[in-house]
Amino acid sequence: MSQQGRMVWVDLGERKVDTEAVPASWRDLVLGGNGLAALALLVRQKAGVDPLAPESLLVFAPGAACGLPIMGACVAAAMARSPLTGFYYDSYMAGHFGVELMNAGCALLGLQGKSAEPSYLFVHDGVVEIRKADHLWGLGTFATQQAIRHELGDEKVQVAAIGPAGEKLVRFACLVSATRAWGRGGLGAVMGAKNLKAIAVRGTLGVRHPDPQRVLAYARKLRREMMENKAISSSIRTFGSAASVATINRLGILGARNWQQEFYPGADAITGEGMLQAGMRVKGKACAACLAASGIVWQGVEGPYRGIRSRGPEYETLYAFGSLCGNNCASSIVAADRLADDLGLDTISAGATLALVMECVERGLLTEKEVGVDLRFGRHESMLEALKLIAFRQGFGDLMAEGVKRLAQRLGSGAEKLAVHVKGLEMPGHSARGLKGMALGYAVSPRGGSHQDTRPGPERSGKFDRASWQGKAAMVRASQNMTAVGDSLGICRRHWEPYAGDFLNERYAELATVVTGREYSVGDLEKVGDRVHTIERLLYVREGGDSRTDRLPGRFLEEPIPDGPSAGMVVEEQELEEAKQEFYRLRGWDPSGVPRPECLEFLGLSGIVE
Amino acid sequence: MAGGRLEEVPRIGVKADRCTGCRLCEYVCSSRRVPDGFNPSLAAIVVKFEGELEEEMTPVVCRQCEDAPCAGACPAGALSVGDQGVVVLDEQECPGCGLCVQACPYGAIRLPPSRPTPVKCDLCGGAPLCVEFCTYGALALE
Repeated sequence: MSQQGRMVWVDLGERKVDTEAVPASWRDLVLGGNGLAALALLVRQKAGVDPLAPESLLVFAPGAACGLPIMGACVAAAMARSPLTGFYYDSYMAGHFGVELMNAGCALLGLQGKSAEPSYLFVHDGVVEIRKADHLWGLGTFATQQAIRHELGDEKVQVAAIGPAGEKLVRFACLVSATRAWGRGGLGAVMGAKNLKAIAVRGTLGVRHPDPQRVLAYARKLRREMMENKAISSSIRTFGSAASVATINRLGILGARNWQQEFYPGADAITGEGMLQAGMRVKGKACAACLAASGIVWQGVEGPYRGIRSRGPEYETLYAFGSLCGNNCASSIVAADRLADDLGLDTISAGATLALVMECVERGLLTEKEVGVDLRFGRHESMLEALKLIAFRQGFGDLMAEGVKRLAQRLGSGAEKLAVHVKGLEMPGHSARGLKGMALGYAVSPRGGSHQDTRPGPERSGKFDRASWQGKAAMVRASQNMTAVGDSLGICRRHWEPYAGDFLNERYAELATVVTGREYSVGDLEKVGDRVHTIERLLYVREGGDSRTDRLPGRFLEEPIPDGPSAGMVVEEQELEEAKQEFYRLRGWDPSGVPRPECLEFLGLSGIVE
Repeated sequence: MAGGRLEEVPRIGVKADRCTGCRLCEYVCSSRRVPDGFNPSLAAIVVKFEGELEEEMTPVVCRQCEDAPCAGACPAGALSVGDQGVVVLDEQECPGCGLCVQACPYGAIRLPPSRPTPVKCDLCGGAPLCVEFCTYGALALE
């Protein structure tokens, strides 16, 4: 654990930098990463700050394991109030940026204020420079990264940049570093509103650990055991997350045509196997300290997309630009993935927004003339055009840049019924109707339509009956605790779910013990998970969230899945409400979903919050 | 074998097409130079990333040249070919001038700003940690 890592606070308006030690009690309470980011926002930011206002605080926090040679330890959090949901959004990125930040002595980087001119930050070994970025404004994320590395004359610099979408305050703009992203929640727009084009980081301080030999011995064991796991060493290694398309479609829970269906007959071409057979796989590429190299570089092999490469598409993008838009031209999805990364757009929200427009066109609520491009289901060439309109907010793209919820509100009641989002966040590719735990998980997630609070794995694998509500409140709590602890330690789920499992257990406890040099039991970790989620709940409540905002879109409550293997499944509202109440009870929150004073006391939070 | 390499001289061979870019080699190598942690910037091996998607990875590490240009460039005689054919650095003798860094045609010796002397692969005494931790065989002891 990087005990020397400090909190670095930058005021871009005042051009002022402060650093302070992370309070020891904070590390014990929340480890780092997710927990540290959420706690810092709870303490440092008051309620009601406009996400795009100068006062809005944007924080970055590498997980506690970052910088150690522990397989999958590379994940860093970015968190701010989201311009899409109005609640706090924590997004996670793998790659090499988080490790570099840790090596630069930053356990947390917090940005506030608005720069008077386009700027980028250069953080090196705890020193922060605010540099001019006029020459970078307007560039895509790839060109920006290259230009900054060239300018700083150090190829080891890691850069996270926004594209035109972030500059134009597109509500689902992301940050891209190399070929990974802080994808969701619109944090790229928060950067853009600060006139901040990029963050460059270089760290040569390294991380300290009380017993490096123990870390090495643990890493040897981890490597052996992970390589014996076929999911990691074979399937994930070959296909990355694209392997999931076939599995999920086979269960009839692959969102298709704006969730009008959950079975996509054309899916074969956009599965990992289909793309491999089409000759699209170039190679696997790793993130820092990675074993699986599951970020697959794919390339287009058809028509105008031939030869275009992207590191991805990942599963979610195959869903969002594929089945959700009725598009099974895999090469076009590779090209759209690459384009979205370059423009700085979240592929999930972008795909979901296009899908909503496509259904509106199909139902006659919008015409091609109004949209400006031929956005009908399956029209992939138009999709790529539309991505540019969104990123630059041109024509109808200006409205699409607002995301599904606001777009539907503007279009009126007919469209609002078709708007599929939770709390303003567009849905990822995991069914609420076909996985009851996910239905509850989405409803109570502080982020809304995110698959990273509650995970789909336990139900998809059949360990839990996906059609039943029985035991789902406890399952959701346990899943959320695993994700919160994993994101606080900064470990890759693609390694750790197959290796250690879907819920906290001895393997996670061993990990936390080795990383921190302090003995952790499973119970201790469950309490960390409870604590991090309760902190996030306090942030949610502070912005007006409660049981009434813990709800799902009408389509999932009123329209059963029409066909395929999960035909007839729907989210029963009464059962959902009962499951919510059971979940709040388990968490120690009151029936309106607000943490009780005794809960805060038990979790050691009562001294920190009023 | 004048001008060539002795068959029995060990060195770390690199198969760049197998490198995934995880940089575990850098972490573990650094543990031999940092007593209390890990610091890739002090590693004797470095992974270079090229290409628009940074998808072309090449590990760069000392090849233990028989007629080592680094040793020839050293004004203090601090670099020499040792008994096993391994090019070794005598840190006591090293003036830290960096001429060896310039002389190496592979960029395999580095002089980090925070260190008085260069960082150079010594094969970990015969069982290199980087090779042990290279999952897909991009590095092998030859």
